[in-house]
Formats: sequence, C-alpha cells, structure tokens
Amino acid sequence: MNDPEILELIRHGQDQKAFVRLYAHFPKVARLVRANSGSTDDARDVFQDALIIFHRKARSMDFRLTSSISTYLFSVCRNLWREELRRRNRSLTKWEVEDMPEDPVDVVEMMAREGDYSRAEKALRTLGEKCMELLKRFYIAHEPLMDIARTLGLAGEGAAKTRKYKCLEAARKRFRELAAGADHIDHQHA
Amino acid sequence: MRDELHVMELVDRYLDVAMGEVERSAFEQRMDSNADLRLLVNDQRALREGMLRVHLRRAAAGARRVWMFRRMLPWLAAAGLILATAASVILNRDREGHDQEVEDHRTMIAPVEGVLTNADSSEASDVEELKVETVFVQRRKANERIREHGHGESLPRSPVEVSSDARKEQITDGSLAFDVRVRTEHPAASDSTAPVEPNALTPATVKPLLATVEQPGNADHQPSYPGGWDAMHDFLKANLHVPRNLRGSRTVLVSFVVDRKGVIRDPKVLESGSAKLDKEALRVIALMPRWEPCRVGDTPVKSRIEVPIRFGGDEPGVH
Repeated sequence: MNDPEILELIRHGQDQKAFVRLYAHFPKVARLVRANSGSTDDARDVFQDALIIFHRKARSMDFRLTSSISTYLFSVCRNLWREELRRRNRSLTKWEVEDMPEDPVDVVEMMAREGDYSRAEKALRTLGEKCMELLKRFYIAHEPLMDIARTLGLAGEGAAKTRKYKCLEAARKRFRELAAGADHIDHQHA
Repeated sequence: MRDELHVMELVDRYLDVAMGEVERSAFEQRMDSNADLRLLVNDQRALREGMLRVHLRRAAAGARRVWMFRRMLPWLAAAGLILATAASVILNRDREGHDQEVEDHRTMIAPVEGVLTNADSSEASDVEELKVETVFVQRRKANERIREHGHGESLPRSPVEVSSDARKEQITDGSLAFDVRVRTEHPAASDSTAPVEPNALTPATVKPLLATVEQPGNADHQPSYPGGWDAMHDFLKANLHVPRNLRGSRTVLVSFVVDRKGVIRDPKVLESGSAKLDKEALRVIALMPRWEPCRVGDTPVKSRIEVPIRFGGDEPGVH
C-alpha cells in the first residue's frame, strides 16, 4: 500500500478513492473487534469513524507521516473500540491480555474533539433534505451561492444566503442541545 | 437577523482562512473580548466538520461497497445467478391465485396509494416486465371484483376514496392538505388489443398489488415517501407556499415516476389548479428526497404515483 499516494488522493479531494484503498486494512480491524466481543458490524462502524478521523488528520497542513497509515488506522480503531466497550460496560480483561503495539504519539491528539464533531454531525442529520443539500453544496462542493440558488429553485443569492443562515442556525440550536445533554451525562458520571 | 447573518459569513471567512492579515487580527481581537462570538466560531467549526463527516461517511460507505465488490466479484456472480433463478421461479408461481390476497389486503391500505405502471419499465429486465404485467392482470381482476362489491368506483377528483376504512385519513391542517389516491394503470392501456379501454383508471392500491410477493409479513412494498405520509405532509407543510390571496382551496393533481432507485422523475400536472399553483406543486415535488421505491418482492420496480396536492384548507380564514 502506497501511503504517500493515499495522502495525495485525500488532499486532492478524492476521498472515496483513498478510502477504497484504505479498506484493505479493514480485515485486520475486523479481526481485532471480533476478538474483543464485537461483531463485524461493530468493526464496520469503528473503521468508518477511524477513516473520518484519519481524513481530518491527513488534511491538516502539518501532518507528517511518522508511522505507516496502517498503524495509525489500527491504533485509532483500537482506541475507538475500547471506548465503545467502556460505554457498553464490558469487561476489558481479554483486552489487557492482547499483545498490542504502542499507539503512535499523535493518535490521542487525532481523536480529541471527536465528541464535538460527531455531535455536530448528529445535529446536522436532523435537518431537512433541502438544508443538507444546500449546506453540502456550499461547504463541501464549494459551489457559489448563485448556482446553489439556481439548482435549488431559490429566488437568488440573497435567498440562498438567508436559507443557509437559517439551516445553520437550526443545526446549531440542535447542536447546543446535544452538547448540553452530553455535559449533563458527564456530570452524572463525575 | 441581517447582523447575525453577516457575523456568520465572517466566521466562515475566518474558518476558510480567507481573511487578510489585518481583518484577521481584528477578528481575533473581537473574539478575545466576546465570548459569544468565540462560542459561535467553535460551533460553526464543529458544524462544518460535522458536514464533512456526513459527506465522508457517504464516501466511506461507497468505498466499502467498491472494496467488497472487488473482493467478492466471483462470489457475487455466482450468487446473482442463483438469485435470478430463484426470483424467476417465485415470480412464476405468483401468476396463480393471488386475487384473494389482494382483497384481504385492501383493508390495510395506507392513506396513500401509488400507481404502478410498466409504461416506464423500459429499464427493467424482460422477466421483470413480464412479471409486472402479470401482476397487473391479477390486479385488474381484483379491482373489477372490488368494484362489483360497490367499493371502488370513485371519481378521480373525489378527495376521499370511497372504499376507505378507518385508517384512511385525509390530512388537513388548515393551510394545506393532501390526500393521495392510487390508480393503477393497466400496463397494456396503450395497447389497442388490450381488454381495457385506454386511460382506464381503476381505483386501486399498490399495496394489495404487491401482496403477490410471498412475504406476507413484509408490509411496506408500495412506493413511499421516506418516513411515511406524515413525514411527507410535514415536508409539504414546510415547503409548499400557499398564495396569500387564495380563496378556499384548490387541488393540483400531480403525477411522477418513482424509479427503481427511488429517484423522482418526470413530474407532471394531471389536473391543473392554476398556472401558479401548478408551478409551485412541481417545484415542491422536485425538492422531495428520494422515495422508497415500489417493490415486487425484493426487487425495486419503477412506479408512477399520483398525488393531489391541496392548497388552502377547509377552515375559513386560515390559509
């Protein structure tokens, strides 16, 4: 697997192509999860999250590959799955016996803020289809507002802008609610 | 709101690193002294990342399919062959004796019903097309019987299907309402040798039609708006603009194809309300997300559905 090539793909927005290659690492992760009281479906979720986390890291300007992508992905998956098991209150005994390599140094840093972002994702998913379409065109495809207005049948750039504002505002409100909920749970645990 | 909108744009510019040196440091100073702004920047950053996650999840799911496909290609080919054989066996059996089932399912009809037509099935395989046709013949027979029983005769415009039972509901909220009826079009309607007169519309439902599949427990085969009709109603309520000066209510009967992937195609107005209302109805139809396609067994098939969209409600004064 050619790591620099994969990074190149990600930096050029060829996300799916890059992911197809990265899926070559999936079987190993699936084995890990299955060996630790998880199912293949669990492994799939964990791996998807790890891809997303890795993607953000790979985009950042200062990212230097200090170990192979495989090591990164595997390490992120392992941490994610450990967290998930903790959430499910499962015993980790079996885990501790596993002979595991050390995490690369920046994996923990890679995973920070993940909670916020996944809450934001959840909040966005509660939006209507039209909002999602608009935000996707604006933030992901970087289409000009004028074009977005035309495609979505809005009156004009101004209307698209207002709509975008409302969508984002709605998502933010939901996001705040989710964040408040998470705080509440944290307090309960504390 | 204009101000807030402006601030949001500034934050976008900031997060895009699109600000010049001066503007940037001014903005950062403002952030230092304004906790609300700081929070907004953080939230907006999270939401932008969240948006990206939505997109990446889709890419990851797609990548997984590609990867699996490449890996499983030989197996898939074998499995496909087996499935195709099985499907043709099952569908062949469906040629027989489903009229009774059709009747039985009639009481389960959801408020909305779709029109299945094979007029658009050019994409479908020959086998499928044949099957759909067969099903339609069954269906028509059933309809005739239903009609004899005095159930089905209804004028195309009548807002409530005559045969409706307690579950039939007409969704009304004062500002707009829609109810949907289904009429099946006989697939051979355009064929002069067909026993049915052209354009014959029989009040019928997709659901019983699809009950020909051997999965009686598998309830939802008709084409449907994701989340069901309540969700569709909410969607219309949120998106349909009812002209302020509209007196009473008007209905626009629109029709569109839900293709095998659930994509809405070829929307058209069958019965006009007014030029303006037609345009609005079509606009909103085009905004709808993908539907759940009509299914015969596990095979999605193209279907055409008719939906009367009503502008304005029954309650006086509320529009």
